[in-house]
Amino acid sequence: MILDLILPRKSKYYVAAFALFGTLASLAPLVIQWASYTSPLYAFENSYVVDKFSIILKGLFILITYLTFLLSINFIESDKYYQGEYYYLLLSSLLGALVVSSSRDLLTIFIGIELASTPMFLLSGWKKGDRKSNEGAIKFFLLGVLSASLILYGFSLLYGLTGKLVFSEISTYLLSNALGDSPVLLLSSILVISGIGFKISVVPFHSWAPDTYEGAPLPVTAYLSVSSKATGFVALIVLLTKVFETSGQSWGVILAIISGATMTLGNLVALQQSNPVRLLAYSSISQAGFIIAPLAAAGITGNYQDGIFASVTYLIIYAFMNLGAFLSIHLFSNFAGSDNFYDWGGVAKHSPLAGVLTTVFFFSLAGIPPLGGWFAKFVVFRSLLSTGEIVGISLAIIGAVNAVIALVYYARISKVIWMDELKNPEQEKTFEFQNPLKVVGALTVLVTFISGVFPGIFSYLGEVSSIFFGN
Amino acid sequence: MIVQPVLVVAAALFSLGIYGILVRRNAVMVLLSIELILNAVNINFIMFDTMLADTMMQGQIFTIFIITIAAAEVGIGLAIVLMLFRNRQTANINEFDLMKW
Repeated sequence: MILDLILPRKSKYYVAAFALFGTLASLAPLVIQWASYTSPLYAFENSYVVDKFSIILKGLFILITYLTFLLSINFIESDKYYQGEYYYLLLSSLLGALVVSSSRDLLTIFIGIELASTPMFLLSGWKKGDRKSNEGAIKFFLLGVLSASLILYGFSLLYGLTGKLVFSEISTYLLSNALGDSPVLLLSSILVISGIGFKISVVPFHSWAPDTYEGAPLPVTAYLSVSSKATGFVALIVLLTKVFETSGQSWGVILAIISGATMTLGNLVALQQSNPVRLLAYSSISQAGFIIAPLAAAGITGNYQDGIFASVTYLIIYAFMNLGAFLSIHLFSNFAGSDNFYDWGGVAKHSPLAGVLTTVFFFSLAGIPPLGGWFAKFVVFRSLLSTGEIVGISLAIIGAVNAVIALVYYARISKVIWMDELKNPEQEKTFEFQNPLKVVGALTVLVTFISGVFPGIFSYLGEVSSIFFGN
Repeated sequence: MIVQPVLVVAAALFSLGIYGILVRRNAVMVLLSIELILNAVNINFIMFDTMLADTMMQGQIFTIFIITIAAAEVGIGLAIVLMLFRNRQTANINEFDLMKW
């Protein structure tokens, strides 16, 4: 069990270095596990598993947290708030995410979800004196706790129906007693989907996301929109395919409707935004629609392997390009001192490097080849179209229309920073691009390019998702 | 054994909690409504545990975990509400409208 249990001490500079080193060091046991992997390992009566699926996701979570730490170093030092707690809370959230990716019973997965999201309530209200931060935190907190209680009510119904908590026992019980289309099971799956829907901010449950993103410190926002969301997706994938697999027809349709609505609404509202953080918030809402689309189609056809492959691939690529996008927003809003990106006219001329990075990330989010976002969208569309079902094809059409709409606002930022007039050409302020941020930029850009140019590295994920579903 | 009335009570508590979240305007009362939902879940788990005569007591163990987590969450929630109250002198969630759309 690789649990990153590092408690940073409260000595000012060592904390950051220690947290960074610890996060990176916790990758080592993962690599060893990967190298010596033979078959899934089970612990605690099948409630905790180490298989390739969970190892990959753990690697993703650890890398995201590492990049978030790099993003935060200068940010936190420039503030007058405490440092130790910040790193400690982020690490606890990481621990929760790691638990979620390995847990295979209701109790463990619930504790994992809570452990991942509870520290985020505090982190989103990090700027104590800032009213926007307060407001974002209370919205996030109330909806987050509500979602947890919805998930719990769903779990309690499931327990009442089967009397089991471990996923494999539940699904065997459901199969052997032919309870696949019991109304209780349907109610329970609706409660679980809506509960996790809050975490991944899909459309009827998305209202907290832009406000919280805007109020929270920027590195925390980046973490929220990537890792926190990924945790929700992993929980959703695991629950739907391991527990509710027998009622795939019904949750497939629900997810398909949610997915279509999420893509469309997120995009249309993003078109109106002038605050870059809110723009990215709505863009990440619409990206969430893309991630659940293959899952919805998989529920209807029953071909989970393909759907999981597409969802997880999209999730991994999305994580890196979105972190990169937050990095570029961080750079420019610090420099221009404005929260309205129309004020950023020509800032790229002050730092062509940052300008190029920004363009790469935003074009990748829009899905332009040869960047990673293109391959992610390609996999999703392939998986949707290969179902041959009316739902899959109509989702693909909605997705294609939305990809075009999205290009408008992604390209608009690039246009503003490169082509618009310099606002005050006399500006003497130097462009700050600190070293930790350069590392973030380099890593994310590397992943974005590699995944676009050599998509072959994802092909082994197909094998992984077959292992995930095969046991 | 009386099963149905207990489950109905739990469902009623759940609905009351949802109603409270939607209608109450004070942040502390919304927190209380969320606690109602969690208690409905607890009753459900205990009842199902007894009904199924679960030898491993999984339902009751789950309840203990829920109580612990609920306590932690209320701690965080009250801290956030306190922070808001300090900055704004109000805990009315209708007035938290700095950001829209």
